Amino acid sequence: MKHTLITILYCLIIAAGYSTDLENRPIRPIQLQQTTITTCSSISPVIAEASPNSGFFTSLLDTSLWPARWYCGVWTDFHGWMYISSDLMIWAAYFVIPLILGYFLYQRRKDVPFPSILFLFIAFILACGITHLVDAAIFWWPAYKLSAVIRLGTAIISWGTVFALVKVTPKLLDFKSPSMLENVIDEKTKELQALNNQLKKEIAEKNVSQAKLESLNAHLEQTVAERTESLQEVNSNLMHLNSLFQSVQDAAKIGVWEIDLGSGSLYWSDTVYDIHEVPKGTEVKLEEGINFYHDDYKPVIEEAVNTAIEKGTGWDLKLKLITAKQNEVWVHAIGLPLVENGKTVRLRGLFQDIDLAVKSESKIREHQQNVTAIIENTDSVIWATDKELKLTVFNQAFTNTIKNIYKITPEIGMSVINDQFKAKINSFWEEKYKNVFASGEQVIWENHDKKTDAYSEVSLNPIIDENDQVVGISGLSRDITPSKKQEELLVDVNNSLEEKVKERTEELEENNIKLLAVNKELESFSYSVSHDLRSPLRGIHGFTNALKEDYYETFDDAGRDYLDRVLSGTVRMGELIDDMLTLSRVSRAEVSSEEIDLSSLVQEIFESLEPGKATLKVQSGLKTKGDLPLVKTVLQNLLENSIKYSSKIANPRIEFGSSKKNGSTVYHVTDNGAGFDMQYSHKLFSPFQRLHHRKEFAGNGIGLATVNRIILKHGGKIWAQSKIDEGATFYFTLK
Amino acid sequence: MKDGTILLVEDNEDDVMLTMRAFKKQGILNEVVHAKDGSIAIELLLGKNGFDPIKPIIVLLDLQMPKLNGLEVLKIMKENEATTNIPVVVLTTSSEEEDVVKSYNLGANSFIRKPVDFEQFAKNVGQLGLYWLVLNEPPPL
Repeated sequence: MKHTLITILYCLIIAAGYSTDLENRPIRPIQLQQTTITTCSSISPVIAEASPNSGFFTSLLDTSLWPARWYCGVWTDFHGWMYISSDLMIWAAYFVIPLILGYFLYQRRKDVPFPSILFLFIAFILACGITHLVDAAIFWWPAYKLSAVIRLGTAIISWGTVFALVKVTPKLLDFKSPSMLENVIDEKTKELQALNNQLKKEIAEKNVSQAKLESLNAHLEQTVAERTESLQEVNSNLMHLNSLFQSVQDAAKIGVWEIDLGSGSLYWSDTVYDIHEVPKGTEVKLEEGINFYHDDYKPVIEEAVNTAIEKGTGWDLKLKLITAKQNEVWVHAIGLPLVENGKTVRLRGLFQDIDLAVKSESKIREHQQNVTAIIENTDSVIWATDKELKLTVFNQAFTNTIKNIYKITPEIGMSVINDQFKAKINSFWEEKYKNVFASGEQVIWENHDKKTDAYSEVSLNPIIDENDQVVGISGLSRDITPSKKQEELLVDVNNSLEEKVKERTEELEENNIKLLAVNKELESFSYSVSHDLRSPLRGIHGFTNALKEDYYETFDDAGRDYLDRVLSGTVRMGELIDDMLTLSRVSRAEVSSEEIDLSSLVQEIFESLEPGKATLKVQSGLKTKGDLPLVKTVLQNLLENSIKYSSKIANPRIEFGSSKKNGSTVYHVTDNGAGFDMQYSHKLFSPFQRLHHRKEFAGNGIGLATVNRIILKHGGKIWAQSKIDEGATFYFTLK
Repeated sequence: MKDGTILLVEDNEDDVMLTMRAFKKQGILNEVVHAKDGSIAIELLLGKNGFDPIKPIIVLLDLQMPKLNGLEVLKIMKENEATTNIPVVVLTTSSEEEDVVKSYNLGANSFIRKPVDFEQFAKNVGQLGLYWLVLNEPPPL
């Protein structure tokens, strides 16, 4: 079909092209008039020569073998143009009809019966039109070959159409005529109307039920809304209760648990997991749950569970648990069986961490035991009362005492002010208790039992609560008889001692006066010694000297030697007397205290002596406090000694310095001289004691004794360190 | 050396002799008046009991004497206008600090202790003479 359309189009284009040619080409109708006879066979031989079998279809458009129709035969213009215009009009009509058919087919292609027949009609009409178009064209364009082919095509299509029509004719006969159709429509309409009426009726009925339904629905909705509201209320109540329950659980560390005995599944709330220190959500079985209990408590819980299952009774136990992290925890476990048809199907219960409570309870118990042990471990009477003076605590000694005195056995809750006691005693104690309550302070007194001569010390102490309120009184009565007796004894001893001290003091005072007198005597004695011994001595020396000088010639050598010995003896005795005087003066002297520049003083004294070849090294800046003349005497003696005892060696060196020992300053005078034997060092500081012979080193043994006295008077100490021939060091301190 | 009398107040005869010997040895040739105790010395100085008062250029005074001791003599001398300016040298056996202090407090001009060694004593006396009789300018009498 498509192919056919293309062919038609092709022909149209060719026709258009030739119509153009037609306009441009000089039409020669005049020629026709001039040539009266026109033969069509003039070119026949060409045909004969031409091979009729080969190239027909290759040169379909070859027009060379025929003249245009105008030139074939004799055509009047009228005849020719009528022919041409009729052909063109037929073609035009035959072209428009298929277009209309095509449009119809395009618009209603679905319900068009036999559309293929319609297509054949379209092709057949188009092909017919084209033969007419080619016939018209042949007047100018003698394409007879083409014309023949088109006609053949038209013939084929026409016959195809015939066959198709024959084939569908019986079917076409079945198509109803419009009147028949109208009848049918009438019938159908009636049927439809009946149906419609039925429907309307049904709809009316349905509307009624719809209304009913709607009202029902509205009612339902209202009910649902009401129910929803009440459910929401219940829900919010439930949520509130749930959060309340949860906070109670959290606060009290209470967890809930449930076991389905049928399936064996165990539910734990988060708190139960926390108490067991097991990660939340871990699956736990009944046996595993029991295994968490301390070995001592496993049998207890096992028995409780078994009893619950068998007899349907619950349990309420305090048990010890070992958590997953091996901590010991006290728990309060409550179990309730759920019985259905006489059979326990579930166990559920509460689980609470009471570790702190149990431990503090045991601490309180321990504390109480300690307190009891303490108050019983004494002979003292101990008791305590509450605000109403009712006994709360007392020890055995209290019981014994009350029993002994009043012949009644005290009990907890018994008032300490009791009708069975004497009124006088009651009022005495009542006043004491009142004092404690009023002052909030301890009341203490001593009792003396004249019958037994026993002393006791009683003290009442307020028991104060955390609000500083006196809530009770604790009492203690202890036997102080021994210490009281001892005290009395002590007072006696003390008195006699005081007397003795007084006597002794008097004695001492007397002695002191005597001593003062003696001292005075001694003073005048030493004064006399100074005068009265020295004066004759000076006389002896003076006159012996005069003898020696004035009568020198009279004496022989021996006589002169005797005189010399008398002279030296008197000088030595003079020195001895002087030294003794110094010693006694030092002993009597009062020590003053002033700043002393020791370093300078040592240097000064050394220079004032006759040091010979000895050299002195002094530590600079040494200062102390003391009695200048006395300290000077000390240093002078020590330096003199050093010079004296080192005078026999080649390079005598003397050194003065200090060092720190136990926080005090120790001064020292060191020489590299003869030294001494430490064996006799204890004699060094006693008067008239010497460690060297006079012939070796002069001296009378008073110097160091004097030094010692001065140092002692200053509150200091002196000692020496030496080795024979290796020098000596004298150390001293001054306070 | 200045002329003039030296008053030696000394109760011990030995000491008087030794002192005189020392003067002589040291070339002190002034007239020496000897008072054998303190009361005689005062009588001499103040012209009592029929004595004409003497004006010594120096008084050598012992301390330990019967009747008036040296310190009492010194005190009287310093209290009297006639004798207050006479130089007094305390020449004594004692070396008690108390005596030294008291002597100076009462206006003694020197304090010399008599050593046992005569040679030393003579030397001291010599120095004494050199100072008081040669170098010192006495107050106008």
